Amino acid sequence: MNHLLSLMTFIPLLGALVILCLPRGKDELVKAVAACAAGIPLFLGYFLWKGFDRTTSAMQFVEKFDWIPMFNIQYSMAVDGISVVMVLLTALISFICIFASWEVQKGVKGYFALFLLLETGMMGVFCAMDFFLFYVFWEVMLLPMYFLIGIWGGPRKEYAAIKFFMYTLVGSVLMLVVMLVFYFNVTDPATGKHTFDLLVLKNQEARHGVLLLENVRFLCFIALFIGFAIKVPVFPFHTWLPDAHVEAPTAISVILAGILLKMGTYGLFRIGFPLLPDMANKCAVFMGVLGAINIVYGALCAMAQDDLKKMVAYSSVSHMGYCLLGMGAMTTAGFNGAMFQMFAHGLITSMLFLCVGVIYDRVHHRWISRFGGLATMVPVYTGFVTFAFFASLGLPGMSGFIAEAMCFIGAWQNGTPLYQKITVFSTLGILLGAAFHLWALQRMFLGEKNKIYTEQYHHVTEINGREIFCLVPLAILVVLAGCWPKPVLDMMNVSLSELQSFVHQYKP
Amino acid sequence: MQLGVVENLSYLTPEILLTVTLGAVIALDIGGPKDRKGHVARLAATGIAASILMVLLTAFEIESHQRARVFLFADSFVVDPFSLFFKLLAGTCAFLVAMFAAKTRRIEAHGEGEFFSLLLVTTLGLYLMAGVADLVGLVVAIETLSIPSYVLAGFYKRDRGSSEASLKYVLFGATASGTMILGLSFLYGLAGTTSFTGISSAVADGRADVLSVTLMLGLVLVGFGFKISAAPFHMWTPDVYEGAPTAVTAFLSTASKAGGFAVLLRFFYTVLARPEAAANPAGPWIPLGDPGWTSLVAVVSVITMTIGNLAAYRQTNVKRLLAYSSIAHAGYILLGFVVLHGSGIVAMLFYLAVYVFMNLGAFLCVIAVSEAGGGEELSDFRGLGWRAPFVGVCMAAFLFSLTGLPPLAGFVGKVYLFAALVDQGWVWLAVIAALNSAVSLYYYVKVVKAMYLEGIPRHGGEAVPLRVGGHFALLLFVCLLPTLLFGVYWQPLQRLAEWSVGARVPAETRAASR
Repeated sequence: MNHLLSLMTFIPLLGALVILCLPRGKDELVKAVAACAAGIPLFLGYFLWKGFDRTTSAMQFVEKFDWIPMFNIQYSMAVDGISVVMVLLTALISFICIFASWEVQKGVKGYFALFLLLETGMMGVFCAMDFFLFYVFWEVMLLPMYFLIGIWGGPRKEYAAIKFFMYTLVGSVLMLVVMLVFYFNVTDPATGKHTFDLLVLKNQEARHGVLLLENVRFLCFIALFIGFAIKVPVFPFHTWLPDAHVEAPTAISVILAGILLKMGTYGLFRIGFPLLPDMANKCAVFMGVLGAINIVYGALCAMAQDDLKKMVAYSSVSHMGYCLLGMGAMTTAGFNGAMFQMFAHGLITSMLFLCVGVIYDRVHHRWISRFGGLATMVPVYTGFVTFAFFASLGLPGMSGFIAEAMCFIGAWQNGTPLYQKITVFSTLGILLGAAFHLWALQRMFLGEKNKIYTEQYHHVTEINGREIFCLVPLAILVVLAGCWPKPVLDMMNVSLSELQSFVHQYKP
Repeated sequence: MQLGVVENLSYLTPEILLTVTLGAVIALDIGGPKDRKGHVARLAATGIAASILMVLLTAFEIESHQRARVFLFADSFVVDPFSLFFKLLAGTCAFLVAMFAAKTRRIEAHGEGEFFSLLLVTTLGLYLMAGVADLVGLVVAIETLSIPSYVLAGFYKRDRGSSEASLKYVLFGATASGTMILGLSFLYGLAGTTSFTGISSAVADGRADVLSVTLMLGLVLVGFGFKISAAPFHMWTPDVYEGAPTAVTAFLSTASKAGGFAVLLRFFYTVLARPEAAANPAGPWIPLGDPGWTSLVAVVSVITMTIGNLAAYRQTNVKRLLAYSSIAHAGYILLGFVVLHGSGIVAMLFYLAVYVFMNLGAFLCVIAVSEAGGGEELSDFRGLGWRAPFVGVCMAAFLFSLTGLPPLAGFVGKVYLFAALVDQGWVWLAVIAALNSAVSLYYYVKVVKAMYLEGIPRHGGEAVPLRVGGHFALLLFVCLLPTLLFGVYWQPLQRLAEWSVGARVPAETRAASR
């Protein structure tokens, strides 16, 4: 299977085109096509999983063609340990989200076509090994996301959509300029031409011109970091996130939190660290501090929310902080922890948002304080929510625990007193995380029924089969990865160790 | 080599064809059958199409003789790949605009004959502008474009907006032209010749002193800045674009602007700069005399794009919004001008080619909507995406392309411009431009928001469809195709732009043509 990655990337696009050609009013057919178009990449993902060589950090499943030879832009797709996990996660979550979107009423054709286009963009970002191609996919994602939030979103959807769009675009145009700076100041030793190939760009010997200046490199790293930090989102660039997550329809919130946020940290792993390892070292502590702020500040914000979805959104801010903390540590364990947290959080937050969607579909509001005693009315749903909350707060035996523990261990191994202080401070996040999850759980599900608002939810129905179908695979994976994380860690470990030692060489 | 009159004329077939068509259009309008609805439009469009064909033939002629350029009429006019590129661009614009106008009811009511004859004259002016190599020729060409443009802007005679547009355009235009001609006359006084190359050697020899040349430059820039609507000579743009018939606005914002860039490039890159290696115009250029004009243009470009983008924010009229956007785009295109490198010129040509399609497309959507019974205000676009899906998708694509989002052609154009800047060390300028284009998203999205996020049909209800004619749909598709195609595979266009700059043609030395 030579074109596995291209197939995984472009079959959704093909599906989108097919959907656009379908006649009006055939909503069921549209959904079926969408499910197939998202299902095939997941199926192919199995071969990726089987065929992936876990013993090497080299690029695998490589596809390389000249795209625009005059500019030496290549269509270059490949995966290594850093991206393969994300590719698989994308395939899985996209597939699940098709079913989570089953009840979309208006503009069904448009919704699923845009959704599949979005999947193509996400897959492409994780597979592209050419900076230009990466950038194209990175931006291609924005358009469908804008429409998906803006058309199918909640009451403040217009504001949320444009805020998301503007934030990300400002970040990415900075990235564009950095990309061009690299292009013109790196010459591929093999061909003597300028190149966008990420593997060549990280070759420090191939550089000349302004890239030899430390200040330029520093500015480049800052620009890249802002571009990626907006996506993560790192405090203080996080303000788009609560708006976008809250207003987006359920499935899109899942995609946003489950995959899009990871692109920021993935971008740092794929581009920021390898291309500018010396600057990455220099800014490491800074990243750790931002990570700690994310963890604690995100958790505190989450605790203050009365809107369940907003609480979950802020919990994402908090959890992405662990990634940052692990990355800033510059240790193999830290990198592994960050990567594993990306995977674990992708699963857990998807569950959380799906659970929020379930109750919202029935009651049409999400105010925590207007619920109470739900456990007696919808016990199965309560079970799923409890499971997701416990996973999210890092209960041992679930994937979140492993990830957070590894991040902390990695951060501690960094060894400098300052970083250890940051680490200790960050552990506060675990406590706060437990607090807001349990508090919400208690207010919504336990205790007496809410006396004032009982009317609003007394007819609430139990979680249905479709919703269970969406949640169960995620739950299984959360437990599996929590009890036996080795298969996942094995996939990424070699590449991350390689990256770590590469970055470590340039430590001042 | 010195060409005879007949040979001279053989290189001018596109222009001659346009003139003949013009005569035919006037004759048909005056003496043709009474029931001649659409005949004039068809004749004009055919004439323009034929002239485009002739441009292509001339291109092959030049290519087959391996000539870099041919000077005609005692060096006052030049036919080279550069001029052919702009003729091609102007011809395409004129053709598309003629096709739009053919189905615009109000233009029909105001007299097709006048409209299309004026359009043909402006096109002729653009063709001439592409090839001038002489001060007198420059003035003649610019005025051939301008004067009919003034009339076209006021084509809706009883419409106050249109009349206001025309008057504003005349007043601003006359002032700008006057200032420019003053500058040109100084230049003649300094150099003692009207030919661009003659002036260039005078500047290079130091016969003209730096201060005078700089002053003169300022004056000339007023004229060019007016044509391309660069700040601070952009004030006319929003009012004229809003008031003029939309087809005319489309023409002014694309073809006329491209013509302005053609003379700007030709003038500055002949008179004030020359290629470092004569045989390689695609390489670096060195400025003659005072190199300060590149910084001046850099500042103008930054101000232009910033003003355009900021002012576009508060617009509620789509035409006006697009007018400010076209000002911003003039700023972007000017970026390629400051780098003094062939790659900058290539980027400008590339961007212009792409810009023509996306901007024409956007205006075409405006025409299509108003012809189908809508209006030109932002509120008239509410729910358009649901009422007329194809127009909505096209408009969204054009607007996002103007923003510069991949995978649309506008993105590639911007990458080329930024790349030229970064390559030559103008990183700060690239950053400003990049941020500007990110900011511009906000107002483009305002239109998209009106089209898709507002006026969504309620559940179960159907949107009231807006019937857009097949004619417009076809034309929209014609604009959409390059916008999409060049966003995914743009190598052919890049080749064309590089050929136009003279990248791979062995340059004939000027001595040979003497």
